[in-house]
Amino acid sequence: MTTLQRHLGIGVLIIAGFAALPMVITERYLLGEIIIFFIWAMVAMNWNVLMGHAGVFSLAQMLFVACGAYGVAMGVTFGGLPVWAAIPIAAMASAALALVIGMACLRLTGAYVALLTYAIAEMIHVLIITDTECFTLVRNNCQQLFGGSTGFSRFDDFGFRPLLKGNWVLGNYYAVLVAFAITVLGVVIIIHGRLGLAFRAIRDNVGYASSRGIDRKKYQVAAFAVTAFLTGLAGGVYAAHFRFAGPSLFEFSTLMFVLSMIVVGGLGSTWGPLIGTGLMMIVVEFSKEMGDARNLVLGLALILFVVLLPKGLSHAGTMLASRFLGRSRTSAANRK
Amino acid sequence: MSALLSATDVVSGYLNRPVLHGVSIDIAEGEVLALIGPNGHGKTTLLRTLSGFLPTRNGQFEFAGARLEHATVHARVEAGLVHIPQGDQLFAEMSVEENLLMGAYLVTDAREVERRLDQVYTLFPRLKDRRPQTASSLSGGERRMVGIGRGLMADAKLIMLDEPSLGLAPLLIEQIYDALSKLRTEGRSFLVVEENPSRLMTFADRLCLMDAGNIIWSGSTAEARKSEDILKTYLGGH
Amino acid sequence: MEILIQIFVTGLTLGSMYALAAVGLSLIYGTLGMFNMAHGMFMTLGAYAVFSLASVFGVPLILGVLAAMVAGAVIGMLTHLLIVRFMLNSPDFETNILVATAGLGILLEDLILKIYGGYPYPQPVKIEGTFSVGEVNVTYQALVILLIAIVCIGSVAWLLLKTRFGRAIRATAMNRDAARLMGVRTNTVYLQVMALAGALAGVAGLMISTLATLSPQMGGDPLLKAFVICVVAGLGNVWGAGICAIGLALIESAIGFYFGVRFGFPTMLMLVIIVLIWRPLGLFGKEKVVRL
Repeated sequence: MTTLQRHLGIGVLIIAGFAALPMVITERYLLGEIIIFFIWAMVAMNWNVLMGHAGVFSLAQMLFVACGAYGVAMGVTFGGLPVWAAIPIAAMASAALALVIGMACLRLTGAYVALLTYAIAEMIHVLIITDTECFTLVRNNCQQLFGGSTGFSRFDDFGFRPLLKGNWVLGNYYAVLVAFAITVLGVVIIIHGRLGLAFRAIRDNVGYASSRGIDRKKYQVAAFAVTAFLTGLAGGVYAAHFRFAGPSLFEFSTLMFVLSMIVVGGLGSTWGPLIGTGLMMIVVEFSKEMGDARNLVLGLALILFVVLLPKGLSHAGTMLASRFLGRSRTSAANRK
Repeated sequence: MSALLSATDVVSGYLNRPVLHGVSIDIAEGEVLALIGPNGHGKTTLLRTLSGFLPTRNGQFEFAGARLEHATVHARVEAGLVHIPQGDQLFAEMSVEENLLMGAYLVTDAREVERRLDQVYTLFPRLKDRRPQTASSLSGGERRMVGIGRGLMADAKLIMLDEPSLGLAPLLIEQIYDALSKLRTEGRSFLVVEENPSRLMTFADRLCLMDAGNIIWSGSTAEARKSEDILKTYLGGH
Repeated sequence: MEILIQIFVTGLTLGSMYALAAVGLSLIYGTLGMFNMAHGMFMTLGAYAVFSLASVFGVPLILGVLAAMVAGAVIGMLTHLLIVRFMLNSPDFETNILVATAGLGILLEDLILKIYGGYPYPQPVKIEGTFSVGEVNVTYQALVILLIAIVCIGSVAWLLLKTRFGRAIRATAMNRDAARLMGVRTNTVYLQVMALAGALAGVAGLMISTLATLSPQMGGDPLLKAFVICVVAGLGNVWGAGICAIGLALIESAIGFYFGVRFGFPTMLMLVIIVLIWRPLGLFGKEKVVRL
C-alpha cells in the first residue's frame, strides 16, 4: 500500500465517521458546531498545504474564504442564482483571484510573499468597508456592490428549511460534509501525489528541482490556485449555511485563529490541522466564557507552540509514539 | 618556552558524528605550528572547535593559562585567540578601513587602533589605496589581505589561519607569506592550516599531520624533511 | 500651487511617521532576519505609555517623546528576551517568527483593549496652533513631527555609520559568524537592535496618535504601510526604507487629494507590485547569489 492509498483510506474513514455521527448526536447546537468545524478545517487544511508543503506563506487565505462567501452572497442577491450553482462559481472566482495574485506575488519568496498577500487582503478589506455608494436597494435599504461595512445577510440558503422542516440542520450538515469530503480527499491527493513530490523537491533544493524541470513559480501558482478553489468552496458553504457574508471575515484575529489551528496541529503534516481545528475551537469556546479572553489565548497559543513545539501536536504525538515503541523494541532485544 | 595553547584529547564534530577523535596539540609562545593533511580530515573542524563555533564534546582546552573548552566565542577572542577563517568572511558592504576597524572591535584605546592600522597598511600597502572601497569590490588577493589584516588588528596572542593561500596565484601567495614572516620576527604565535604545505616548510617551526580526525605525526620541519614517508604521502615530494 | 503645498505638507508628515516605523522594521529584518508583525503594537504601546504618563503628570512634549522611546525600547527588549532569543537558530525561523510575533501582536492588542477599553482618547501631549505657508494653513504639530523624525532618523544614521556600536550592528547584519570572530557578542547586538527599533516605533506611535486618536488598533494601518515600504526598498535596506517612506507618502497624499483618501493605499500597493515585478528584490535590494 502506498502512502497515498493509506492516507486516502484514513480520509475515507474520517468522512464516514462524520457521516454516521448524526445517528449519535441529535442536538441542533452540537451539529451546528460540527458544521463550523468542517468549514474551519477546510480552510486550515488548505492553508497547511500551501504553507507547510508548497512553501508559500500566504496571509491572504481569509480573502479567498471571503471571495467564496461574497461570491455566493452576490450571486444570490444580485444574480438571482440558486445557492447550489453559486457555490461552485464562487469557488472558481476564488481560484481566478488567486491566479492573478499568485502571478504577481510568487516571483518573490518567503517573508516577501507573506507581507504582500497580507497587504492585498487588507487593501480589499478597507476598500469594501469604506464603500458607501448604493448599488441597489434591498428591502428599502441601501445595498452596496460589495456590501459595505455590514455585508450581505438573509439571502437564500441551501433550501432545506421547507424540505426537512425541523431537521433542516441535518440537510446543511450533509451539504457541508460533502464540501469537507472533497477538501479532505483533494488535500491528501495533493500532499501525497505528484504535486506533493514536486513541492518536497522544491523545498529541499530549489536549484536541483529546477534543473529537473520543476519550475518553482509554476508549481507554487498552481498550488495557490487549487487551494484557493477549495478555500473558496469553504467560504461558499459558510455563506450558504449562515446566510451571511461580511467584512468580519477579514479581521486579523480570524486569520490568527485559523493560523493557530495549523500551528497547534502541526505545520507541514497531513492530519495535524484537523486536530488543531478541533482543539482550538474548544479552547476558544472556553476562553470566551472566561471573560472574553479569545485573543489572549490565541496569541499565547501561537507563541508557545512556535517556541516550544514548532512542529505541532501531530509531530509530538508521532515522536512520543516512536520513542515508546523504540524503547519497547530495545527492551525486547535486551531480553534476548 | 611555556605552552600558550594546549588541547588534550579534543572530541568534536557536527550533529552526532564526531570528526575529531581525541586530538591533542600544544603550541609554545612564539612558535609557529603548521597543521597539514588532506581535505576533509578535520583541520578546519579543529580550528572551529578551538575558536568556539563547535562545542568541545570531550577533552580539555587550555589557552594562556585559562580553561576555555566551554567558553563562548567572544570570551576566547578576549583571551587573545584570533581565528582568521577560510574564505575571508569579510563584511561585504563595509569599506576596507571599516573591516579593519572591526578587527580591533575589542581594542578600546583609539591611539592603539591608529597604530595598528598604520602597521597593517605598511604590511599591505595596497590596502592603503583601497581604504574607502567596499570589500565586495576588491580582488581575491586584496580580500585575503583585508582578512589577514583584520585578524592582525586584534589583541592576538595566537593567530589561527585557515588556508591563507587558498585560491591565490603563486605570486600573491609569496606576498602573503612574506608579510606573515615579518610578523613572525615580532614573536607572535601562529597556527596555520594548509592543504598544500610547500610554503609552510620554511615558515613553520613544527608540523602536525592530520588524517581521519587524528594527529598521526608531529615533529619539527627539519625532521619532516628527513622523513621520506611523510614527504611522499602528504607533501608530494617537496 | 496651494494644492501642491498642501499635498507636500501632508506627504512629508505622513512620510516621516512611516519612515520612523519602516526604518526600525528594516533594521530588525536586516540584523535578525525576522519580520516583526508586532511592530504595530510597539507603536501603539508607545502612544498609550505617553497617554498614561500625561494623564497623571502632564508632561511636556520632549519628555513625552522620551517616554515613548523608553516604552518602545522596553517592549522591544522583552520581545527579544522572552521570544526571539529561543528561536534564533531554529529551522524555519523566518516563518515561525512571523507567526510568533503575529501572536504577540494580537495578544498585546487585547491587553490594551482590556486595560484602556476601546474609547478613542485624544493624545494630550501635542502642540496646538497653525501657521500659514502661502495660503495654506500648516499645524505646528506637523512641523514638530517632521523635526522629530529628522532628529531620530539622523541620530540612528549617525549611530550606525559613525560609531563602534553601529559598526558592530552592521557587521552582525552582514556576516553573523565573522562578527562573532571579531569578539562581538551577537546576542547583545540583537537586544540593542530590538531596543533601538522599538524606540523608533514608540516615537512613531506617539506622533500618529497626535494626528488622530488613541485606539488599540491604531498601529495596524501604519504597520501595513511600513511593510509595503520595506518590501519596495528591499527587506533589510535601512536607507532605502527611509527614502521610500517619504516617496510613497507623497504619492499617497497626492492620490488621496485627487481621487479620495480610500484610494491612496490601493494605488500605493499597485505601484509596489509593479515595482516588484520589475525588480523582485526591491528598488535598493541586491541580488544574493545562491549556489546549487
